[in-house]
Amino acid sequence: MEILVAVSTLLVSAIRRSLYTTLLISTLAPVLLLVVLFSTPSISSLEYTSLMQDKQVLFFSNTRSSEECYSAGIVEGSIMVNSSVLRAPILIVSANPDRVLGVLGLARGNYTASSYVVLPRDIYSDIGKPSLVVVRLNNATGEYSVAGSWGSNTVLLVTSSVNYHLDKYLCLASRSRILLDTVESIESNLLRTAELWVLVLSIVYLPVIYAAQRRVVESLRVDLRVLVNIGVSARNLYFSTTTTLIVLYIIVVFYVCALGVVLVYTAWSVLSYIVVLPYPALRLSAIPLLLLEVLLGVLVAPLASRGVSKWL
Amino acid sequence: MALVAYKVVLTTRKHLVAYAVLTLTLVSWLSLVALGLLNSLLWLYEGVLGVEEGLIITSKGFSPLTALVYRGDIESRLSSITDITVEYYLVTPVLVNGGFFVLRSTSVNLNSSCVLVGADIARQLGVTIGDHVVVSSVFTGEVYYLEVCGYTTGYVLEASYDLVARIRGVTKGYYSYIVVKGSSEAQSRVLEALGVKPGEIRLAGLIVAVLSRIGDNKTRVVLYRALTEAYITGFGLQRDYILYFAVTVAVASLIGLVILGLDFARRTSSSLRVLRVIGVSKRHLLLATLLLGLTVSTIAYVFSLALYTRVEFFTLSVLGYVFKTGRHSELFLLVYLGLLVLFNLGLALGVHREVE
Repeated sequence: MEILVAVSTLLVSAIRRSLYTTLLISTLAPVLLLVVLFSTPSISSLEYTSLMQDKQVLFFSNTRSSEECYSAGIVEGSIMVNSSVLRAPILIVSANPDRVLGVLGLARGNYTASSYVVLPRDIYSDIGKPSLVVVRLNNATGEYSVAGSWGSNTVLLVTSSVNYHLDKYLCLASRSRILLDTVESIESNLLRTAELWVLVLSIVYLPVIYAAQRRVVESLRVDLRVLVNIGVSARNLYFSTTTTLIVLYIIVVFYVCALGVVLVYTAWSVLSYIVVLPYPALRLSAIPLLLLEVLLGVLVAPLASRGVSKWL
Repeated sequence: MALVAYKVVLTTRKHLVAYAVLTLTLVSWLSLVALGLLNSLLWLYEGVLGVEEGLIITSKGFSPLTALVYRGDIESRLSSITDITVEYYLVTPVLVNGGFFVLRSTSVNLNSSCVLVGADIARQLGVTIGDHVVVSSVFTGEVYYLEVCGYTTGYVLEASYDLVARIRGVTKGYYSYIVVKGSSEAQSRVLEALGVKPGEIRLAGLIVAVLSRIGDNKTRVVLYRALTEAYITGFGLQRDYILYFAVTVAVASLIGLVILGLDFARRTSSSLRVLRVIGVSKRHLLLATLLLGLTVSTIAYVFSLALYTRVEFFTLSVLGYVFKTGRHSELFLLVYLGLLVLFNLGLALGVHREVE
């Protein structure tokens, strides 16, 4: 009860004498910048994906980098037509031929065989646009239908009945999906750096927060003396001062946070008259940093309240 | 008298000065980092493509990776201009092992299955000369099996023009950007040939001319100070807004130094009171403390600059490319001024209160 009375007395006095201003300045940089940096409009919400004609593309990867990936591998092999033998890298894909050939614009819906070959355009023309070729891979040969040609320098062998160990993947993804993933990765990298910067700033600001809290305690010296005179023990006085600092600090942190949100939205409303900007929104990843900022202030408060009873 | 007071405070409060220098150094370093990193965003394409000086001719588009300029058109416009060197580049985004990279044409004679890899990319992909990489075209959806024939500078892959054009899916003769090098006078003539009015030409460092077609045989040209600026403008983002934002963040991160200045004055109050009792005037005490503040701020700023240039604790990377933080003296001077003004403001207020 004694602590409660002391805390309320100190709080009222601190608020009446505007002692929170010092705390406000000390938390302004880490909290306000946290809110501003984490409320910047998301780049991925810009409508640039519509600028690209959406089309599915193939890409080779060591991992399953997309929702639709097929086992694949590249081996050195040779193709034989009539009497000529040509060495070429062969990209083997274990997939339904219709699916992969469709992406290359070769599927006509009448591919009934389980395997097809797509030849590099120059080779396809040089060997007289054959409909069947023999492909030799690791001393095993097989005859495959030719689905057509493509601009690549590799022979593509799409087969649904594969006899080889394939440890890589050929993935399919839409261009807009790739672009969106890329932009999201850029944004997350930027935010990760911002997160680390704000974290270090919060830690570097500890002496500033300590100085601000100590200043508040010293400004409350008269009130503390009154509390001692009315019989508050030294121990309770220390706890009351610490609690007052913590309460005041938390109020100030959330006030600055709210101020930051208002500032961001005001700046956005003004700027939106000049440029087209996506809507800003405070990202949830800012919350752990905000709580850390509160925790740091709470940890500093007992240090700032040290020795209050010795002054009196 | 002020100098005596300055010496007294400096010698009797060494630990306090050291503490202030340390805190100010760290805060100032963070401010420089924020300014440097945000500013480096404005030089993304210059960094990736290794474009530093000269006149760049490109066309309006989503990015320099998608813009196309017809070589014949530029050659006919520049045919009458001598004493210039013109380099044509075609660039295209490609996917290698699921990651996004830039493939650029090179004048080096390479066979059609060869690719040169930037040292950082080679490290990232774990490839050396003689290894193969599988490059996928974002435009044609085709997959190319290429041999690493050597290394190149910058965060790019390089291949022969014919191969890059095939991967990009364009007919021969199209390029992404053209670099014109020559004297200022020659560059002015190039700009005039492109259709820029003589009064609009301001040559300094890098100049980017973006062409956009407005009719059958008519083009409009807009000049920019940087390649990145030319393309972010298309999204409504102005270079200056980003710069103002960077400066605001940098200065705002220093705001707490007022409190540090007040605290410094409070901690030296006993020395100040003694000096006041022995007859040092208020004015001299204020002068001595401000001199001390100037010393502390300057030392801290020098340390923070050393930290900024030598320690790469904060790095900003986009798709593996690590941004190079610039050294912009006028912006750095702003951090020093902010540091000096805010710390000394706190100090002056504190001394005024303590001496009273």
